[in-house]
Amino acid sequence: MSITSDLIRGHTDTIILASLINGDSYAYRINRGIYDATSGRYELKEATLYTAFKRLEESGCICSYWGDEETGARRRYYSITNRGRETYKKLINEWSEAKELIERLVIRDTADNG
Amino acid sequence: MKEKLRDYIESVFSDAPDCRKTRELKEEMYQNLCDKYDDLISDGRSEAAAYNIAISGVGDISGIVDSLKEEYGEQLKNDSSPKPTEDNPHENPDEKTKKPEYTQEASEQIRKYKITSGILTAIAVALYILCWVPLAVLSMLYTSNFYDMVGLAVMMIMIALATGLLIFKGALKPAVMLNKKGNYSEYDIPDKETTEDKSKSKNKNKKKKNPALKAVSSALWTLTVVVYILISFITFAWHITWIIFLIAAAIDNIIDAIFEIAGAKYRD
Repeated sequence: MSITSDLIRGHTDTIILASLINGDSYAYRINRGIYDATSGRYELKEATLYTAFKRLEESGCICSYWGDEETGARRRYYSITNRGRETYKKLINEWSEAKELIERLVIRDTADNG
Repeated sequence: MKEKLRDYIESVFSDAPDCRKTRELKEEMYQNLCDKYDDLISDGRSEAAAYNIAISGVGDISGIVDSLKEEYGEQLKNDSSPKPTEDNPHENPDEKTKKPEYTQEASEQIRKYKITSGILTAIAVALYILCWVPLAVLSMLYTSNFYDMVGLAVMMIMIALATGLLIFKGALKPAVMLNKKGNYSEYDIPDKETTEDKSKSKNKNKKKKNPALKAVSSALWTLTVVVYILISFITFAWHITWIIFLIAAAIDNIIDAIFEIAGAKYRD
């Protein structure tokens, strides 16, 4: 699990951008979405999440604003920017290419050598 | 139990600087932890279990705290950088004068100015006092009108020199003293600086000196010369009429003071 975590952590930015591509969201809902999508097998540490928000906000990929909930809870919402969308497309292309290459490099038909 | 979440947030951020970003992040994290806690409770977990699970998901935020500290430090640096350094008292005369104390360099300038100003004033006054001597001596020795005119010319040159010295003295006044309220009258002041410093403070003076004050001052001195010559030629009391220049100098300083006080009130 730890190696898987490390592999996934390298794509934190892509995952967050993907979570925002269909609408604004806040930290817990994003993490909950990740948890649900992986059937509880993966979840970001909050430290990782906030560090990523900060990085993405500084690079102009996302922006944030404080929601005005009537229930009293004030949540900071994040919104993807146009630059974020471009970055997301680029990251997805990179991922597709990497996935294909890694697969070609690491998957061997062991039956041939047996 | 939510108070415990609040306490937890406070404890992990105890090292962070107390700035807007920190407060916002604390609020954001607290809200998200509460959401998570509520979800866990509604999933049927006990309060203690929900708290522990929520806390364990936070991870190591020391990196975030460090970057907050770094940003805050930079912000402090930026805030303080426009302040003038002691090395450049000339660069920010306005900032300088807000300080209650002069810097060491500024006080040194003021001390020098006082000495120079004293010498210049003494020479000027001596010239005023003695300006009638050549005329008197020449008139005694010769009866010709020509020598009277020479004597008069020498006298006028001496007066012009003396007046020039007083004006020059005013121009030497260090920039740091110009906006200082009330502590020094012009006669207290004066300075002697390096040639470079002189030109600098002259420029400062030109900028700082009220143009209206300049106009009044030059008009006063022109009038003084006219009055002096008129009275002297009418009364021929040359031995005493030079006092007009001392009176004029006093009036000039009074006008200066009035402008300064008015200016100080305006600035306040």
